[in-house]
Amino acid sequence: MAAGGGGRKKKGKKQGAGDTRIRLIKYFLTHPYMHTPRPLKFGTMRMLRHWTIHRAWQLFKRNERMSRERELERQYNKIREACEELARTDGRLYRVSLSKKDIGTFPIDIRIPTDTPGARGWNYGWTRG
Amino acid sequence: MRKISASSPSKTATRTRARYQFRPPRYYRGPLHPVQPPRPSEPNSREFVPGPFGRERLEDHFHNTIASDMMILSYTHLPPGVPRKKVDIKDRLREWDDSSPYHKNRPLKGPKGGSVLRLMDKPGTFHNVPKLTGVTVHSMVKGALQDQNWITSTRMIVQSVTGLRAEVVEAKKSVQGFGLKAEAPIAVKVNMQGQLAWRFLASLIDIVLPRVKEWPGVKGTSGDSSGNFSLGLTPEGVALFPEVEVNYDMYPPKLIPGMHITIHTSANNDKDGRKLLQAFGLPFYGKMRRA
Repeated sequence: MAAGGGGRKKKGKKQGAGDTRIRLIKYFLTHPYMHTPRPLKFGTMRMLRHWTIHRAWQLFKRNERMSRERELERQYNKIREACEELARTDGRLYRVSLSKKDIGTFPIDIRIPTDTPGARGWNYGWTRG
Repeated sequence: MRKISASSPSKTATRTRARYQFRPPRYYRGPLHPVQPPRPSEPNSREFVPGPFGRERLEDHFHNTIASDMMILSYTHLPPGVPRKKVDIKDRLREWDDSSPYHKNRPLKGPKGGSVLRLMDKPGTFHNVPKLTGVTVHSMVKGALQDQNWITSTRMIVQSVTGLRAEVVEAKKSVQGFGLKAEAPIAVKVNMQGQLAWRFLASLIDIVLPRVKEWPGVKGTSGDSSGNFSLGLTPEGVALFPEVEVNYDMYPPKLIPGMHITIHTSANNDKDGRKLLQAFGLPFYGKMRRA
């Protein structure tokens, strides 16, 4: 077991002192270079392949980001147009629609979508005890 | 006949290795050094991390569903042709009443009740939809004053939970009452951004918090009035992280720390930031902070 912190063996009680788990944690925290692999060495063609894939992935991410931004902008412009249309048709409704009062928030039962959602969902009838 | 791999056909052919092999330097020696390390995206870099190997669920959820809803909730109508009000920072600072001759040429005073100007509310558009910018995990352990093993196990737990190497925080000054000595290691902290932050938050919301006993939610008064929120976890809560739970026996059960988690959002006020966190599925309880 290497986790004694190498070097000369000391005599006395200090050798076995302390929790084994703590000794192990200390060992793995302080010797990261023994567990991290050396940097990869690629040949020219393999490096080129990697570079191509990397550039393609960056491009994909960029396109995704741009399309998301454009979609949001499109929605924003639609909201704005709708508000302007409302201003032209009905002044009272327009004023009501612009009011920042009683703007709701997201419902408490909103969940991050999963492939395997719970079968029963939100229990609205739950009470303590 | 040997099979020729489609992905690396050169494996079967005789290969001539280039005479010069670049060896990345072990340390970064500054911008003026002739040998510069390769970029982290290149595989011969020591900082290269392969991946990503999957999508982040919470991030996808944010972009697919939450972002447009947040935009609608924070929508401010800017009628065409109406010029936007521009607020000069000088209008937000206070002038000195010239009651004393020493007031001449003094810089303007800060706002009442504090020297720092609060962030300005900007009209919500598609440009500034609030989003997650990072998560900070900070874990202060009192026991580290007596027992250094506390710091060891805390470092390991925080590292395994967040996926980043934790930084040890030392006390700035001595405090007699707490038995604190200057420069004594007392806490551990990690700041996550991007993918790791999304992953951490998703596992926190979906796995850890629902199983914490009697967890009321995030306190409504949490928040720093610029869209960042903090919540705390007890040692029992930290033990519920799947990364800790799978090898719970690896840690001495008495040395499992609690932690403070700060969620940073790009919202300029607490109201919008709270809405974002509620959309992620974090419940808030009690009196809500107004700012």
